[in-house]
Amino acid sequence: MSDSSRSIPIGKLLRADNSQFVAGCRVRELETPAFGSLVRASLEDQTDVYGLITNISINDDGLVRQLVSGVSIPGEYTADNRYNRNLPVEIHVLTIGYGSNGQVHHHLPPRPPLSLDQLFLCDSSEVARFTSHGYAYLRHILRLVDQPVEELLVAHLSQARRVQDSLGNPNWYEAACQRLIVLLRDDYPRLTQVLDALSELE
Amino acid sequence: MPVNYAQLEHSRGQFAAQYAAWQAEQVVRYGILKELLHDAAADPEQLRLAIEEAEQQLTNLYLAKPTNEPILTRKPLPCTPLSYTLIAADGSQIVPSRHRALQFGVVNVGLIKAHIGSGEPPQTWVETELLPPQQIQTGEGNLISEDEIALLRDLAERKLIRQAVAPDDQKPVITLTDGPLDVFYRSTIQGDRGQEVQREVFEIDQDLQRRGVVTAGYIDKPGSAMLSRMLAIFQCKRQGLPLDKKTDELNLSDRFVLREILNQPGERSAIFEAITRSARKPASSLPVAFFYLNVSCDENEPCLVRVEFPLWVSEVPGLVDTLHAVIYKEAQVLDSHPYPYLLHRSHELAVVKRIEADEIELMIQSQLDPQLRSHQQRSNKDYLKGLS
Repeated sequence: MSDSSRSIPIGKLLRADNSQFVAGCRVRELETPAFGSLVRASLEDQTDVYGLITNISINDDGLVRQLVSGVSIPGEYTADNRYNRNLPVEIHVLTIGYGSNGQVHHHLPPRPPLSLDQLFLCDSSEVARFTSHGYAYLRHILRLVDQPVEELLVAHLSQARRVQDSLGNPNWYEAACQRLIVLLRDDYPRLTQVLDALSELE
Repeated sequence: MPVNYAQLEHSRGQFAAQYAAWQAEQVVRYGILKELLHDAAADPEQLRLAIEEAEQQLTNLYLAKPTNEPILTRKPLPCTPLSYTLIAADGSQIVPSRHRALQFGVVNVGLIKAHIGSGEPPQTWVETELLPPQQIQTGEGNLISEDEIALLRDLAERKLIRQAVAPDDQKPVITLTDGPLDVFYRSTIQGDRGQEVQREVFEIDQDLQRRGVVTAGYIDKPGSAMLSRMLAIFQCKRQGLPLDKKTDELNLSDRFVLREILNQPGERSAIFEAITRSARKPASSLPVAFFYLNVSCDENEPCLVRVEFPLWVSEVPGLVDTLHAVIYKEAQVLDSHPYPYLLHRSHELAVVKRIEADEIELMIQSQLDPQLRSHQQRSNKDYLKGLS
C-alpha cells in the first residue's frame, strides 16, 4: 500500500471496470491532475490500482448552457458555477497495473476500484516505483482505440523520464522507446506516428 | 390511463374560440384602463382622495397607492454600483401527508450570498428543519395545511437571511426572495400560530430595516391587478358610486396595463405603495412599496415584473435607483429568459425532490422504536399509485 499521506487526493470514483475507470472531482480540485499523469486508486483490500489520465471532461447542464449565451456574467457567477454547483469534472483513467503486498504488477488488477474510492495523483517516488519495473504496461496504452495514443505516450514518458533522470537513470527513456519500437514493429505507420510525436521530447 | 386525446381533439377548437374571445375582452379592458390611467394621471388629487377614502371605508383592499411620483413615471435604467452584497433565499417543503407511512414535515431553505465586485465565488447555505410532531398538527389533531407549511417556509427564509447578513458585508446589502414581501397574502391561518409567525416576521423586518438592508421580493409574470383596482376606485369616486362597487369589467393584470408605457428595456414604473386590508392582515407589518420593471433586453418584447420593497427604501435618496439597477443587471445574467440569477440558484439549492423526501422518511423511520415502526404503514392508495 502506498503512503497516501504524501499523495494529493483529486477525486472519487464514479464508475469502473477492470481496464479503465472514471473519477469525478470539483473544478477547484482540477489544478493538479493533468492529461497523461500517473494516478492511483486505493482499494479497501490494500490494493493500489494504477492508471494514466486519458481524458478530462467538463460537464454542463441547462443553467450552464443558458449562461453561455448570456451577454455579461459577473466573475462571481462564473466562480459560482465552477466551485459551488454540483457539476463534477470527469477524469477518465486507463488502468495500467496495480500494486499489492509491496509488489508492482503491470497487468490488470483482479478487480476494479469501487465507486467513491479515492483517486490520488502519484508523486515522483510512486512514478519511479511504478516505472522501474520494466515497460510491460506500455501495451495497455497501445491497445487504446479512438484515443490520442501518441499524445498520451508523450505526456506519460515526459513525466516518467523527468523522474527517472532525477534518480540518475538517464537510459530509462531510451529503453522505453526501444520497447515501443519492438511492440509496434509490425505496424509501421503507427510506429512512425509514435516516434514522430516522441521527437518533441528530444 | 393516458389522456383521452380524442376527447381533447374535439374540445380544443371550442377552447381556442373562447380563448380568443377572452383575449378580445382583455383588449377592450385595456383600452378603458389606458384612458382611466391618463385621466387619473391628470387629476392626482382626485386619485389621492379616492384611495384615502377607500382606505377608511373598505375592510378588504389590495391595491396600488401612488407615492410622490406621478403615476405615469417611467425611469430609465440607472448606473449599477461597482460593488454591493446580494443575498437570495428560497425555500421548499415536505408537506405532512397521512398517506405516508410517517407523518412528518420539512422546511428546506437555500441561501446564496454574493459580494459583487469581489470576484469571489458566492457563499451558499442550506438549512433543513424537521418540524416537531406537535408543530405539524392542529389543535383538532389534523395535519397542518400546505398554507401553514408555506408560511413556516417563508419565515425560515427570512430568519436565514437575517443570519446571513454580516456587519462587514459590502454596502448596499440587498436581499431577494421569490414572491410578494407580505408573507400573509395567501395565508388562511388564524389564531395563535399565525400571530406568532406574524410577530416574528415583523421583528425580522424591523431588524433588517435598522441595519439598512434592502429586502426585495421579485414577482415574475405578475398576475395581480393592483393598478386596475386603483383605477376602478378612481372611476367610482369620479362617478359618485360606492367605492366597493363590483368592477370586474376593469380587472386586468398590471403587466398588461403598463406594457405599452414601460417599453424600453430597463425602465421602471412609478413607485406605488401596496395597500392591503384584510381580516388576516397583521396589525403590525412593514409598509410595502413596489415598482414594475421591464427586465427584457429586447425593445420589441417587454417583460414586466413587479419588485416589492419596504416603503422606507423609497425615502432614502438613491436607494430605489440602486435596487432598480441591481435587479435589472441580475436578471440580465439569464438574458434570454430574464430572471435574477441568484434567486434561481437559491431555488436550485432549496428544492426537495420526491426521492429526497422518501430518503428523509427512511432516515427518520430508522430511528424509531421497531415496535412503533411496525404500526407505521403507507396508505394502500399511495402504495398503488406508486405502482403505475
